[in-house]
Amino acid sequence: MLTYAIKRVLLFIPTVIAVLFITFTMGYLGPGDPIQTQVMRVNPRLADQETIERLREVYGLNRPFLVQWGDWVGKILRGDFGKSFATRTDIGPAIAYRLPISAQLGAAGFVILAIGGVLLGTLAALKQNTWIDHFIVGSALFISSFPIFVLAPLLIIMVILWLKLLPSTLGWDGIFSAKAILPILLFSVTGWISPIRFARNGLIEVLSQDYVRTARAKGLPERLVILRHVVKNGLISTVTFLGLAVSGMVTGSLFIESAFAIPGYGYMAVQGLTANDYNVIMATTLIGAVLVIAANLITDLLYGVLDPRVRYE
Amino acid sequence: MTQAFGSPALLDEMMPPRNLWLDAWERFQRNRMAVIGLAIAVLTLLLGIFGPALAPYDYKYIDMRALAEPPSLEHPMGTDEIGRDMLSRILQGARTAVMVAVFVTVINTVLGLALGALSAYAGGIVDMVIMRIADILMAFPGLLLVAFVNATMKRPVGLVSLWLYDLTGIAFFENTLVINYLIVLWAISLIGWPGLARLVRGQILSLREREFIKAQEAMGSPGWRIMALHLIPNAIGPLIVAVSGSIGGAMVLESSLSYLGLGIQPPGASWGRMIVENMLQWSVYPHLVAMPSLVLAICVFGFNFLGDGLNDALNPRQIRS
Repeated sequence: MLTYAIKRVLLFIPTVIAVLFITFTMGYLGPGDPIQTQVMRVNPRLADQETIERLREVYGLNRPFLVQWGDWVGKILRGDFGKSFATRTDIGPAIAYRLPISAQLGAAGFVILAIGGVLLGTLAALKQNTWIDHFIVGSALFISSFPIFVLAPLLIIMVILWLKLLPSTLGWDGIFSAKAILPILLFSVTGWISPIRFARNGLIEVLSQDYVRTARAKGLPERLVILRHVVKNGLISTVTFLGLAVSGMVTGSLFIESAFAIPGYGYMAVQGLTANDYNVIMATTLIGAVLVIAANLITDLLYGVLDPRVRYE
Repeated sequence: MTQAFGSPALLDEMMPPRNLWLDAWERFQRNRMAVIGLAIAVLTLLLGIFGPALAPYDYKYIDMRALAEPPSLEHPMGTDEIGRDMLSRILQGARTAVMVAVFVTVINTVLGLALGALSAYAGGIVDMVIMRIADILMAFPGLLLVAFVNATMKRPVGLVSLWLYDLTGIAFFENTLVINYLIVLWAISLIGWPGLARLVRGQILSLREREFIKAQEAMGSPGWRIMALHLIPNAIGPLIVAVSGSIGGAMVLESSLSYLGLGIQPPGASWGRMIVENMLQWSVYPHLVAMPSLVLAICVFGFNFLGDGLNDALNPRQIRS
């Protein structure tokens, strides 16, 4: 297991470096020369070649590309993401404030997603091809067909304006307030189809295995067949959905947080994208990617623990 | 793809009964939701092709005497805030959605097949490079990467195309609207191929080890024959499922980008754009948000159920209990 874990972690590092490189290169090419842009914005008359050259030197922009990249990576490792063009404030502290908010919502959503999804998927597999199965898979597919930016306003209108079940829920009051209910619901429900599918398909595959037939033939009560033989082996592949779920939540947070005016990571990303605020876009893209890579790493490690065969591939 | 399933009678004539496709079609038919999904998918494609021609009005035409009207005989879906006919705009949006979906799916499939097969056959360093690139692209959350590419590449690509225009004088390079569309389409395609390439590679690698392929090789069958008669028919099921699933995904991505203001620019009609344009007036004019939302949801829903049905029909091992 240890060699497998080390191998996985070592694979993780080059991916992160590649992501850092791609992000920087695109952020470098995208906005053009920052000095030129700034000078033109402040006072176009200053835009003589000499001043620009001097400013480039002051900001270290005349150094080779790779040196600048290394400098940028070093700063990011120290939590310095540069300044936002739009608000003129440091991005690092903003992220330190905003990311935990999104993480709380995501974690709460994930717990509901995982437990609910696995239970519903198990039920669907055991009642395969009955109306229960069709209902569970069908409704999860149905919900996942609504893009989040459609679902969020629909929910706000229905629950708050029409049914008046909750007071106005825009904004952020901490995870244990009524305002967090709808966002958490959205974080979990929209991703349900993947754990349900993984659990259902995994269990159905195991249900047709010979050793299950043997267990039944030797007269084991159905309850024990399911608990001891089917569930244990059939749910291993469900772990795979972890990576998918984190990826879905990172993108989902963009729409959910902007719909509910939650000052989290996703809202920041949307603000950056709409304002063409390149430093913010680079920071949020990078963080999203690192979160997904980490989730995939954890998935691989968990798989290695649960299914020893994986370690020897 | 839909054609192969849409005409069982034709298949019957062409092939002897009780083959893979007939079996799959029978299983598919038994799944009512899948058949509904197929109907919606076909209808969506037809609307994307013929819709704008059927539209009662020009989708850009502004009628100042009919602002934000509820559905009526004259305007079956009402008009939007500046007096444009909703039905015409939704039909135009269908063309955008279908165009994006078809374009993206074709690029994805071609890239996925080519790179996946290349990876499996070449092995070694080629395989490693392609799969690492795929890994890295898959490490970004899809929408974020597309949005990032869109936001950062517009200016450089615009500069390059202007330079090309100066150099060659071809009018195409000056048309920023088309260039904009192309950046959106390529950005969405960029994130789709790695999954398919991995799938194709995995299928080929595992099939090559199977006895019936080894037997063919041992009997001296030429490579193309093994490929055409054994490798492709056996690998195509999961591929069809993945491709049909990616169509709905591409539609959602395009709408999401347009919703964020990064995709199709006005006055072009996109369902996502229509939703966000009318979002602020939701409580006053609910139909303006409801129409594009529902149309988008129904289309994606159709493609999802189609994909699900195809999965059950083409991967029969999963449903045998």
